[in-house]
Amino acid sequence: MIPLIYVLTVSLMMFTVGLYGILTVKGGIRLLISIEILVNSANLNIVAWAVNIADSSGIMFVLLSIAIAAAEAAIGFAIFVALYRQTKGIGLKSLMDLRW
Amino acid sequence: MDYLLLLLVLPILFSIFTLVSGRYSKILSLVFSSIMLLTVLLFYEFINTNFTTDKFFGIGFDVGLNYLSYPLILLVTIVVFAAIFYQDPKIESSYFSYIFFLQFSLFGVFMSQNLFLFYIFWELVLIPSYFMIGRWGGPRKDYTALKFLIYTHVGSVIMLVSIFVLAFNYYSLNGTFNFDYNQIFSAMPSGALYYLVLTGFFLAFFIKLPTFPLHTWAPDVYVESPTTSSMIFSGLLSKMGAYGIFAIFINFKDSSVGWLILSLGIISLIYASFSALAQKDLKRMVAYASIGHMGFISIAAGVYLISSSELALVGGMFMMFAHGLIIPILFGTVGSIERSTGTRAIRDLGGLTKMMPNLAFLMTGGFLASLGLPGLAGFIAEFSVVVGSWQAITYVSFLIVFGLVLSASYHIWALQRTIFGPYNNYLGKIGDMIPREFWPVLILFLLVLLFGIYPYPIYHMFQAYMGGV
Amino acid sequence: MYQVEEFLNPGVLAAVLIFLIPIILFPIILLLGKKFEKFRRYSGILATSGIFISFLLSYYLYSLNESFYYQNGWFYNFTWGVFVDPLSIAMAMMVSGVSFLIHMFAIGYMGKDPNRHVYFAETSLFTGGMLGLVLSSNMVMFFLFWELVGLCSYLLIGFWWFKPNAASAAKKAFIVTRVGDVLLILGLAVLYWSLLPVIKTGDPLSIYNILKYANIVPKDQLALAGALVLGGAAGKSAQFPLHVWIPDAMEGPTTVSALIHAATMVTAGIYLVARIYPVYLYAAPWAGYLVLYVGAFTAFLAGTMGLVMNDIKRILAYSTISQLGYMLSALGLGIVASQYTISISIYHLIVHAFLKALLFLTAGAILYSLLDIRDIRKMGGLWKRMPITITAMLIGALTLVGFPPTAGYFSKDEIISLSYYFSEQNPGIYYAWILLLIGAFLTTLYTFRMFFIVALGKPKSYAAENAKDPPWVMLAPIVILSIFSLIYGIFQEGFYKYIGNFEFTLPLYIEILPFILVLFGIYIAWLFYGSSRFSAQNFARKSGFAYRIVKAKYYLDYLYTNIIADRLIVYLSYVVALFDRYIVDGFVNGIGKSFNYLASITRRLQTGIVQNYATFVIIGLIVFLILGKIMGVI
Repeated sequence: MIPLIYVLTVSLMMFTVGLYGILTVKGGIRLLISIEILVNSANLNIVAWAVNIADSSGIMFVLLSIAIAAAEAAIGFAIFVALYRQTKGIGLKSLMDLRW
Repeated sequence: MDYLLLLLVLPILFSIFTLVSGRYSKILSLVFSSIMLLTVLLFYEFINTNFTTDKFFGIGFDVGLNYLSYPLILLVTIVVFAAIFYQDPKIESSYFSYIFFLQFSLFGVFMSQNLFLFYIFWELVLIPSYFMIGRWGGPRKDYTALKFLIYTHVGSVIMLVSIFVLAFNYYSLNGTFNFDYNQIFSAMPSGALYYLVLTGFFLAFFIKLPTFPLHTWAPDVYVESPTTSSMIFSGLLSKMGAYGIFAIFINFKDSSVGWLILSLGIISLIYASFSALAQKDLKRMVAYASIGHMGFISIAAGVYLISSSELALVGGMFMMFAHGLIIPILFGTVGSIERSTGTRAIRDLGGLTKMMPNLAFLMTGGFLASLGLPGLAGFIAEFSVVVGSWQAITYVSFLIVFGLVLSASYHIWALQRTIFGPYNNYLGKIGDMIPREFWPVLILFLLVLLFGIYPYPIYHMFQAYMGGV
Repeated sequence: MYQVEEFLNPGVLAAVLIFLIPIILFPIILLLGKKFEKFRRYSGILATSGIFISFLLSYYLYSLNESFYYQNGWFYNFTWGVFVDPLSIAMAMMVSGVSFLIHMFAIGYMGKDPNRHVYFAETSLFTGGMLGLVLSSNMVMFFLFWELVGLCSYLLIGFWWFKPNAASAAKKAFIVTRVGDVLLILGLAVLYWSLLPVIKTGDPLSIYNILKYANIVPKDQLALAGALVLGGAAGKSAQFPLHVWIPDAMEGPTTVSALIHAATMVTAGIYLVARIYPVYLYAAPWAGYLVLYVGAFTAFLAGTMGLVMNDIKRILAYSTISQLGYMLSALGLGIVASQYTISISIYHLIVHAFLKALLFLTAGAILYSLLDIRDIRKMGGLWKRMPITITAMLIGALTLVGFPPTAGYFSKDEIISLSYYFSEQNPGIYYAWILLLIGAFLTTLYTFRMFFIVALGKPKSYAAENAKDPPWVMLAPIVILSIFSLIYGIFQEGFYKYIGNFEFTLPLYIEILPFILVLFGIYIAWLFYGSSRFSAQNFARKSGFAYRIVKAKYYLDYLYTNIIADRLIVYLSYVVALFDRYIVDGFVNGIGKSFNYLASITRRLQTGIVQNYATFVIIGLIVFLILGKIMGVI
C-alpha cells in the first residue's frame, strides 16, 4: 500500500499546478483544465483519506464531486461558446466589459 | 379596535385596483379617494382607540388614532382627493397606484403607536415618492429623485440608530423591550448617547420638515415634480416631519434644544422669505414659501420646550393642518399657469387677470392665505404662534414678525408681477383654468376659508391632544 | 354695560346683521355679475340698498340706547361677539351712512365700468368689514376685520389692475400697512400675556376685559402694548412714519379714495386707540406722549407736503393724513392729561368723514367730467361750469379749515383749544399746541390753494372748458354731505354727551386764534393763487432747498422704496438665494460629489479580470490563516 503522505504530496502538487493555472492563464479552455486539476486534486485528497480511515462515505462524495465537475465543465464550455459567438474569441480579457 | 386596520387596508387595495384599471384609472381613483374621504370622516368615532397584536421583542403591530393623528389623516385624504381630481387623466395608471401607496404609508406613519413601526412606515413613504419623482418629473428628475431619496434616507437611518439606543437602554433598565411612544422616552440615556439620540431624531424630522440648513431637497423636489405630485409632496411629506416633532421630538424636555429649534425656525422663516423674494421661477418661489411656513412649526415646538406655552404649540399644530391645505392651492394655480401659458418665469407673465379671471381669484386667495391673512386658516396658526411665544421669547418675536412682513412682501410682489399689471401680449390668447383644475383648488380654498373663520373643529382636537398628553 | 347671554336677542342680532349683510352681498353680487351680464348694472343698487339696511339697523341700535356685549367661544380661549356702546354705535352709523352715500355716488361714477359688479362686491365687503371692525367684542376678531378692510383696500386700489401704477400702489399699501399690522399682533401678544394672570379665566383679549382690568396691569407692560398697538394704528391711519402709502393709494377709483382712504378705513387706527383707551390711560406716561406727538407731528408734516402737490387727489390725501393726526393727538392729549377726550377726537373723526367724503366726491365729479385729468394746473374756472359741484367743494374746504359756523369749526378748533388748555397744567404738551396751530394754518393754505386754482381763473385745458355738473345720482350725495358739513356743528354738545363729556373753558383770544390764522391763510392763498399778485413759482424758486425737500416728500418714499425695498431687501435676497444655491445646496451636493470621487478611486480595484479577484481571495485567505496562527486561534 502506498503511504498516505505520497498521495497527499501528489494532491498538493496537483493543487498548486491548478492554482497557478487559474491565476495566470489567459485562455478559457486552459482555465477549465486548471479547474479540473484543482477539483481532481481535492478528489484525490478525499479518496486518500477515505481509504486511510476506511470510511466509504468519502468515496461516495468524490463520485458526486466528479459528476458535479463534469456538469460544471459542460456549463463552462457552454459559456465559452456563447462568449465566442459574441466576441470571436474566448480570451478572459473579453469578460471585462462589466467592470465600471 | 380591528376596524382601524381598515384605514390601512383600503389604500393598499385601492393601490392594487388602480394599477390594473387601465384607461379609467383617474375616474376610478377619484371614486376610491372619495370612499377614503367618507371612511376617514366616519372614523371620527374611533379617535382614541388602539389596535395591538402580540409583542415580539416589544414590537407589535400597534396602530391607533388620537387627536393629533386624526386631523392629519383627514388632511392626507383631502389633499389626495384634490390632487387626484387635479390630475390630467392622460397618465399611466401606476401613477395613481403610487399615490394610494403613499397614502397608505402616510396613514401608517400617523397611526403607528410604536417607534419601530413608525420607522418602517416612515421609510416606506420613500418608495412611492421616489418613483413619482423619478418617472414623471421634469428635466432634472433623476438627480432630484436620487437627492431626495439619499437626503431623507440619511436622516432616517440615523434615527433608526437612535431608536435602538433608546430600546436597548430601556431593556437595560427594565429587562424588557418596549418601543411604545409613551414609555420608551422614560429611558433617555445621558451623556454622549443622549446627544446621539437627539441628533438622530433631529435629523430625521428636521430634514423632512424641512428646516434651514437641511432644506435643499425640498425646492428641487417640489419644482421638478408634476403639479399633482407637488401638491401631495408639499402638502403631506413635510407633515411627517411636523408630526414627528409634535408627537416624538417634544419628548426631549430640554430648553436648550428649544432654543436651538426656535432659532432654526426663525432663520428658516426669514431665510426662505429672502430666497423666495429672489426667485425667478414662480413654482420655486412657492416652494420656498412652503419652507418658510414650516419655520412656524419649529418655532412653536421650540417655544413649547422653552416655556410650555400651549397656545404656541397648538398654533404650530394648526399650522401643519392649515399649511397642508394652503400650499396645494398655490401649486395648483401655478400648475394651471404653466399649462396655460407654457411658462413659469415670473417676468414672462403679467396681467393674467385679463385672460384667466378664475385663476386670478384663486391665486389671490391662495397667496393671501399663505401670507397669513385673517379669515383664512393660516392666520389662526400664525397668530397663535406669535401671541403664544411672546412670553417666552419677548423681543425675539420681532424677528418672527419681520419674517411675516417679508413673507407678505414676496407674495404681494409676485401677485403684482403675474396677475396684475399690463397683460403680456406675447402670451397670446390663452384659456382659463379648466374644470379639473378649478374645482379641486376651489374646494381647498373654501376649506381654508371655513377653517379660517371657524377653526374650532380642528383646533379643539389639537387642544384635546395637548390636554391628554 | 352688561353682558347678553343669548344670541337671539334683538340687539345682538341687529349688531351681527349690520356687518353680515354687506359681507354676504359680496359673493352674491360677484356670482350674479359673473353669471349674468345683464345683472351688472343692478349690482350698485343691490349693494347700496344692502348698506342702507345696515344703516337702518345701526339707527335701531342707537334707538335702543343701551350698552351691551355678547360673546361666544371661537378658538382656544378667544371669543367672538359684538360690543355695542355709544362709541361703536356712533362709528357704525357714520360708516354705514357715509358708505351709503358714496355707494350711491358710485352708481353713477362707476356706471360705465365693465367690471362694476366686482367693484360693488368689493366695496360692499369693505363696508361689512369696517362695520364688523367697529362692533367687534374681541381684539382677535377686531384684527380679522382690520385685515379684511386692508385686503379690500388692496383689491380696490388695484381695481384697475392693468395700470402698472395701480398694481404697484396696491402692493405698497399692503406692505406698509402690513408692517403696522404685525406690530399690532405683537401689541396684542403683550396684552394677552399681561391680562392673562389678571383675569384668571376667560378671554384676555376681549374688549370688555381689557377695559375692565387695564387699571391693575403693570404700567410698563401696558405702555409697551400701547406703543405696539399704536404702530398698527399708525399703519392703518397713515401716521408718520408709515404714512407713505395713502398718496399712492389714490390710483384707485375716486369713490374708493373717498370711502376707504378718507372717510372710513383710515380712521380705524384712531378708533382702535379710542377703543382700548384705558390701556393708554393706565400705562406709563411715555405711551401717551408717543400717541400725542406722533399725531401732532403728522398733522404738521402732512400739511407741508399738501402745499406742494399738484394732483388734486393727492392734496386731499395729505390733508387726510394731517386731519388723522389731529384726531390722534386729541386722544394723546387726553391720555397725557388722564382725561377722557374720546368724544372730541371721535367728533372730529365723524365731521372729517363727512367733509372728506364730500371733498373726494366733488373731486370725483370733477374727474368724471374732465375725463380723469387729476392735475390741478390743467383745471381752472370750473366754478362757472360746474356751479353745484364747486360750491359743494367750497363748503367742504371751509369745513376742512374750520371756518365758523361749519362743523369743522366745532371739531378741529376744539382740539387746538384743548391742547392749549392741557398745556397750562402740563408744559410738555405746549409743543403739540404749536404744531397743531401751524398745522391749522397749513391746512388753510393748501386747501384754498387747491380751491382757488380749481375754481377761479381761466380753464387751462380743453376738457376743463367743456366741464359740466354730473347727473343727479352723483349730485345728491354731494348735496346731502354738504348739508351735513354745514349743520353738523349743532350736534356737538349732544354728541359729546352721548360719548362721554369733557368740558373746559379758555380765554377768548386763545379760542379765536385758530380762526384768525384761518383768515390769514385764506388771504395768503388768495394773494398767491386767487389774484396773481404773487407768483408761487418765484416763491418756490427762492425757497430752493426747503422746497425741494418738501417736494420730494422728505425723501421718506425714496428711503422706503428705493433704498430699503429695492436696494437693501432685494439685493439681500439675491445674496441669500446665491448662498442657498452655492453654499447650502453646494455643501449637500459636495458631500455627494466627494463620495463619487472616492468611489472613482476605489472602484479601480475591480479590474474585471476574474483571476485578479481569485488572487485577492487567496492572498486574503493566506493572511487570515497566518493571523490565526499568530493569535493562536487555529
